[in-house]
Amino acid sequence: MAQLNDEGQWIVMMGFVISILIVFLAIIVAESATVGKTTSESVLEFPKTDIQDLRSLLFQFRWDSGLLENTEFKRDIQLLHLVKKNAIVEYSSDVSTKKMEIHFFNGLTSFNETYLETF
Amino acid sequence: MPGNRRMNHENGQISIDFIIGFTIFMIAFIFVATMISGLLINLQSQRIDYDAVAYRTGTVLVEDPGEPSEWNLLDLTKAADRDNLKRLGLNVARNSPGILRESKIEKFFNPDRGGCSDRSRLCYPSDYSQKLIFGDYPYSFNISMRELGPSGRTWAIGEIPSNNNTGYIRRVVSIKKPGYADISPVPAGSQNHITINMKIQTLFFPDPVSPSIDPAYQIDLIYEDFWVNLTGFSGVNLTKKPELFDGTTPVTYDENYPTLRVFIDSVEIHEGDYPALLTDDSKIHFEEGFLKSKGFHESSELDFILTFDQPVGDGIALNIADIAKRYPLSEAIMEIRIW
Amino acid sequence: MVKNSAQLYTIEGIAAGVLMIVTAYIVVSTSTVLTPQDIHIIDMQLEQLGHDALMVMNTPKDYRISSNLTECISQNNPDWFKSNFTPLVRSRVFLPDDTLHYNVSLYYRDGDVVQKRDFTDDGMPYLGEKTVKVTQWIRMDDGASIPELRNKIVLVEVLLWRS
Repeated sequence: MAQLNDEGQWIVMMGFVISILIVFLAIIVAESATVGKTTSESVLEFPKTDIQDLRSLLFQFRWDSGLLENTEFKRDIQLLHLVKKNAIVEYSSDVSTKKMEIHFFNGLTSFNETYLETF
Repeated sequence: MPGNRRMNHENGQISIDFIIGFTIFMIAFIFVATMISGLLINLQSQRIDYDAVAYRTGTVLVEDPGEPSEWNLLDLTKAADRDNLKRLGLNVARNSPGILRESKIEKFFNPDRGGCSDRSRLCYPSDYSQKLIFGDYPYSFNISMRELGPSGRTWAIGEIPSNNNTGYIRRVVSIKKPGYADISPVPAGSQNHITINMKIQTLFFPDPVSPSIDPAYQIDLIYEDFWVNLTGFSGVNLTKKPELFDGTTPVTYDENYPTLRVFIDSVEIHEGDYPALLTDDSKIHFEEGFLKSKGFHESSELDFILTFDQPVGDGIALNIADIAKRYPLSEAIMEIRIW
Repeated sequence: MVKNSAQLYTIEGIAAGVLMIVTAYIVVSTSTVLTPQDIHIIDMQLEQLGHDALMVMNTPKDYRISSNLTECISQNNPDWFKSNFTPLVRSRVFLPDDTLHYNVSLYYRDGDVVQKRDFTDDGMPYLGEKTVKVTQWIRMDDGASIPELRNKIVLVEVLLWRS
């Protein structure tokens, strides 16, 4: 024939275009499937043991009055945390009101506690 | 037909056939578009992460005292109390991770397998899947524990896994045992009874200026059980059941759990068995929750009187703070498998 | 009488629709989307185990006494450390012992820097395996055998690996 009647060809062309887009999307989605956080990565990243150990250390000395206010101890704790655990630690205690404040920050996780001793 | 087209250009109308074709196309397109959203939701893991469940279970058992934290004292026959029990954790208290209370361990590893009517026991496996492992998926589990040291006690609960493809975690813990006291006859005795004055506050605050003892080392008459060992009384008769006095008011008790029980050679002595002949293996057990059920608490004071048929006491009341002892913490390994 | 002059539009509409549906179905049913492989599980288990074992060693066995860990570092007694730590970290409940190896170092502050001091290991040299690091805090008083550690807070660090 002299000229194809291509008036309605664009319907099929749209169909092809959509199909190609779907396949393209599937390829992208398949690649993005490996993104995500596993449970054990989250567990390893959260400083649960660091925070527990810090609290345990500070509670050990809370009534040895003088030790928590001792600046040498504070420098020990702060420097070791900074160098070995990449964390900033700050604490203060008040023996008269039996209150202790603890602050821990390792860049990803921040922990703040105000501890009030109740007898 | 050429005539049709010419008419379209002039009239500006779309032919009906075109519209039908276009409609069918649009319907199919919308159908496909809704299927695509399903494509992205299908991001599911093919494998269940059993190790994560095992880790979480291990953390609940070892680092959590449970909810409520004194769940070992609950009366589980009451549905309201059983509903109140939200989490099974074995820890002694909130601020001492890794130290487990022995009575919670015993309760945890000795459930009621046949019906759930026993007041002091958990239901297997429903309580465990709802209050420990959580989630709707029916996980199978195996939890076992072994105490290191001379006793070498083991506990285990759950099914045996059929292969090694399970989620697994191993924890190392300390175990806190209940306290005990030893009583012996006084050499030149003049009285037939021995009195222990239990000022419970002295056990919780041994030193008035320091804070209370860390719960991990507490001799706890209110939240734990307590044993009184009678040593050196062989040949002596216990004439009646031990008496408790709140000041001058006697405290009555029966044989229903929790209560006070006397064991001679590991056999329980009942009301009608008195007078009972004591041997070298005579013990009195304050079951956990007994004093609490009678209304006593950390500030209470009570007197515990034993009456014998020979003069074994000197009339001076023993102080609970002087005679109560605790065992050192022992170490144990716990393994949890989930599949 | 129905005119059949523009059937092509309809046929092409149907063909395009069928083409899209079939493609989508094939794509959806063959894509397997997986979460990443969890290769850090072993590390997580080992780190928790090591920390537990060291923490149990650092828990005083009774009221107002110091923990085994504090005592053996204070007296500079590596054999005592090994005899305490090895069963804690290797024992299993019913199966025979696990094969874990470790080495121990102490970190303390000296002026404005952190100093390291090797303490002990279990005899097996470290050959570059994948390790985890677990720590505990102890306080040394005046009576410590190692003079640099007196009156300081010391970080005990254990490197743990499986052979």
